[in-house]
Amino acid sequence: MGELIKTNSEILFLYDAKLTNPNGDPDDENRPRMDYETKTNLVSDVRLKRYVRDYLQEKGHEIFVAKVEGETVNATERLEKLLGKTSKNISKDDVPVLLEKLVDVRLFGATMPIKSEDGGSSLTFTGPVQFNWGYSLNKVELVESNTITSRFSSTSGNEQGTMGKDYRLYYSLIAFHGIVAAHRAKFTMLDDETLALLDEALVKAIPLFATRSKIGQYPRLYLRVEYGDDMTYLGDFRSFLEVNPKEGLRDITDYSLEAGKLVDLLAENSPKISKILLYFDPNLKTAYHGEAKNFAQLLAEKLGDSKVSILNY
Amino acid sequence: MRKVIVFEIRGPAAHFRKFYTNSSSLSYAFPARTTLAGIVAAVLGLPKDSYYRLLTGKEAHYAVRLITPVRKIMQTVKFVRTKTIKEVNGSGGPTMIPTEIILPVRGRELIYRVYFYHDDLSFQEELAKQLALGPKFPVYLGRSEFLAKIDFLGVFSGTALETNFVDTVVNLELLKDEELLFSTLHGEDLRYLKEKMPFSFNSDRSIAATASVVYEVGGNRVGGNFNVPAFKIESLGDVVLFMEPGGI
Repeated sequence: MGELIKTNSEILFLYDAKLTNPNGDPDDENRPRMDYETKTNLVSDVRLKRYVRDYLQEKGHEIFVAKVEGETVNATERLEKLLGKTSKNISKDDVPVLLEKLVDVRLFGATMPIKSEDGGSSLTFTGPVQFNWGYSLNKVELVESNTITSRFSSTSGNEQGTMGKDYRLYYSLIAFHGIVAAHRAKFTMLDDETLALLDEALVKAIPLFATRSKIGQYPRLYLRVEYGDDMTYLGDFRSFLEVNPKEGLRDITDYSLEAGKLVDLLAENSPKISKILLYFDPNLKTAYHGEAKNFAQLLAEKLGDSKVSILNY
Repeated sequence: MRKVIVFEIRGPAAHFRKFYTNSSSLSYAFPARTTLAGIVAAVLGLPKDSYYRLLTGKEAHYAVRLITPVRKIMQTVKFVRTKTIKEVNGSGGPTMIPTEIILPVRGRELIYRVYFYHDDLSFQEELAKQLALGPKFPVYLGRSEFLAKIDFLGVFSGTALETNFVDTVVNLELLKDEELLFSTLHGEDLRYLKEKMPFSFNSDRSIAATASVVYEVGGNRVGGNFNVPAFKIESLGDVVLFMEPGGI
């Protein structure tokens, strides 16, 4: 374990989705989630956390909310296995050991079947890391042609396969906002090494978990702004971003991300910022108040080289 | 004269769960009094379930104004199904929960302006101090996936005002004979929605009292014959009706 997190962070994460379905709505024939009134594509926070959990599990970390070796084990059995004792003997005193083992609980919190002092049957840990729902910065259109054929037939003996629906969107630049709350870190023992794993997972997970409906998604920009104290939040960074043009996009080369307001906000608040961790894909064209500028260079220019550290994986 | 703490809470989306819905999660258009109490508690860093007497009792006073008109969309969210506590790790499979999400009619952020005072003046001072520094626990618009930010506007004095129009949502108990006005002074139509909301909690988080609260759908002032005077904050231009019976 590393050092306990003592200062807040705020996260901005942009990835794009091309001819794919970033997050289907199960009650809407699995169409991409949309706010149709504003043509905004939506992605739930649980979808993003799933990428992180899957990535960390693949890397060999213990995950609480996950299948174990393809086998379904209930939460009580899971705790028994992790601790090597029967559930009757599991108490609040085992919490530190569990937190040390379970990386997703340190990050996102969980409810665990451990008897609490007031007689309740579970303990709830609120996660220090929380994400808003993601939304697209551009106006998104769905692909009109949705019907696919499948080689699987509905009944055995049928010669024909079945027809199915497969909804995709043309292009969506999805933006997430998240926070790391120092005041919550002590409850789940969130340390700097675990937080570094989160940085890595967000940048690397999405292309790795490309199933048929998730192929064509790439991280484009990741920013974790680490503050110098445990009270500062500058607010949702996405409100300071625009894409130009906003409509009719089909590819990353079709637009530029106007980041002038965001960079100014960070520069103004520079005394409160201890460092900025940055992943930036130079294929994403960025601008500073209309003038084309590489985002990584721009940040270093406005905040100083020493404050910006580039994440290389 | 009474001094009132005013702050705004803003974020891209919200979900304020209706207490009487079961499998679908429907949302109020604005935070209930108990939700406002939770936000105040988060600012001060008070632990879960520790503050209901202090913040939902008679000493605490709240009013809220919708700065942005709101709309609702439905999204079905995949949650961990937990019929028994053993299934909290996802072993019981997923469950699909239709969820109503509140969004602003225009722009990217919802903004609610909250007015608060407490009969315990030292408590009130402590809150103002903490608001100026920033909240201890992160604040949300109803749920942790709807992160929000607080802008502290300040501590304001005001004057009592006999009026028929107020900027805040209105507890129906404050109306004489539940009488609302359905047009503005200029003759424009006013449309209301009524929400039945939790008003106070017992110490175990069970609901102690509910209230019916109305807001004007188009973002106009609520008109009615009120049985208490409103509170005018001159420097903000706001006419405020606190939710608690008895008036300020």
